Amino acid sequence: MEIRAAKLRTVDLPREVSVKVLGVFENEILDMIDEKPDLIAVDCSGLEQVTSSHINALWLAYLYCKEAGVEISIASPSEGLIRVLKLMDLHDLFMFDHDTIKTRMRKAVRSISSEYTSTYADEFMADVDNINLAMVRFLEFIKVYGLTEIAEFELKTVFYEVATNIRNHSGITDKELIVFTARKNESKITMVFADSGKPFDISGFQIGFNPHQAGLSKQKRGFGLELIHRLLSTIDYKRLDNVINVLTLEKELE
Amino acid sequence: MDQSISSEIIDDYTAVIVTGSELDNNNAHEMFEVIAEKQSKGHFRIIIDMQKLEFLSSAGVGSIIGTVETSRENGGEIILCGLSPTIEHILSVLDLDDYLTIAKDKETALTLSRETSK
Repeated sequence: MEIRAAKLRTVDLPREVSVKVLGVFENEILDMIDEKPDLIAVDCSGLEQVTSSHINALWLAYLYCKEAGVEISIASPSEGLIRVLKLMDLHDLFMFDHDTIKTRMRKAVRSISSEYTSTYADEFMADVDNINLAMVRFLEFIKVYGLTEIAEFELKTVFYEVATNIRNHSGITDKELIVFTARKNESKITMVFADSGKPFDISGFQIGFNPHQAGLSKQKRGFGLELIHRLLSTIDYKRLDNVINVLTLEKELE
Repeated sequence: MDQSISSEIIDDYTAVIVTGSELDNNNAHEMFEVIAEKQSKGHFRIIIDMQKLEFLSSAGVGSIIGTVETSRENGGEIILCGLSPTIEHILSVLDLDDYLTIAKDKETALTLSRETSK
């Protein structure tokens, strides 16, 4: 299992920047800096109009990051934002990522298993409620496959355990996204999860579980990875651009 | 979603714990605490009634496995009852169906509890 410190944090630049919203944005940046990320990406994809408040927010974010020695990039900037930053001689202070992290995650999950027709795609924030809601949506979808009750339950369990594992171990915040797709052919279902947390490879986990030993040692944790591995046929992990974790899971259907 | 956990004292040695429809990461710690609290008061025969349980995560499994030996060391047992086929399946995937004591329903579990406890 590989766990390294390299990590990215993403934050949305608010559309409407009131004093209160600016305060929240500042706190988000400061909280992220406390986590000592390698890079903070400010996602500007939601911006329709650029105001001086937006520029102030970016300037503040830049100052905080510079002071803390954290790199900052602007993700998915509009032409208007770039123009304003150039006019104010601020353009060269930032790195620019014209493909948002979200877009890169979506592309990553959709490019895998491309031989299948894309049948299901979802993205959800990594908090408990949104994971549960996403699981319910996925369950509604897999009903169309006409699987057995046991097979449906196994897929539900895999979804929950993997999403919860990402939430608990990849270091992403409740507001960051997990991107998910599922595809099915006659004999198997392929599920792909992508997140922008720190590298977390569960594919190398060794099955060696002894239930009696677990009981005797009063073991409370560590059942999740065992369960995931026992319920799946294959697990593949990739780290893309040192930014995105992509977990591809296959389950043979009987 | 029903994540409630309730309990009932049967006698000085026996307690019944009833789960809601879910036992997952959100309430697994509570389940562990409820079982441990019963054991700390000498209730080492514990029936866990899972009749309403529809989803059991790995954390939920851990909350039970982590307490079984404490009961056994003290002459008691933890007995699961009312399991749906899907919950039983998850336990069997982890090979825990052989390790845990499982009864069909609460009455059977209570009878079994008296028989198996020392």
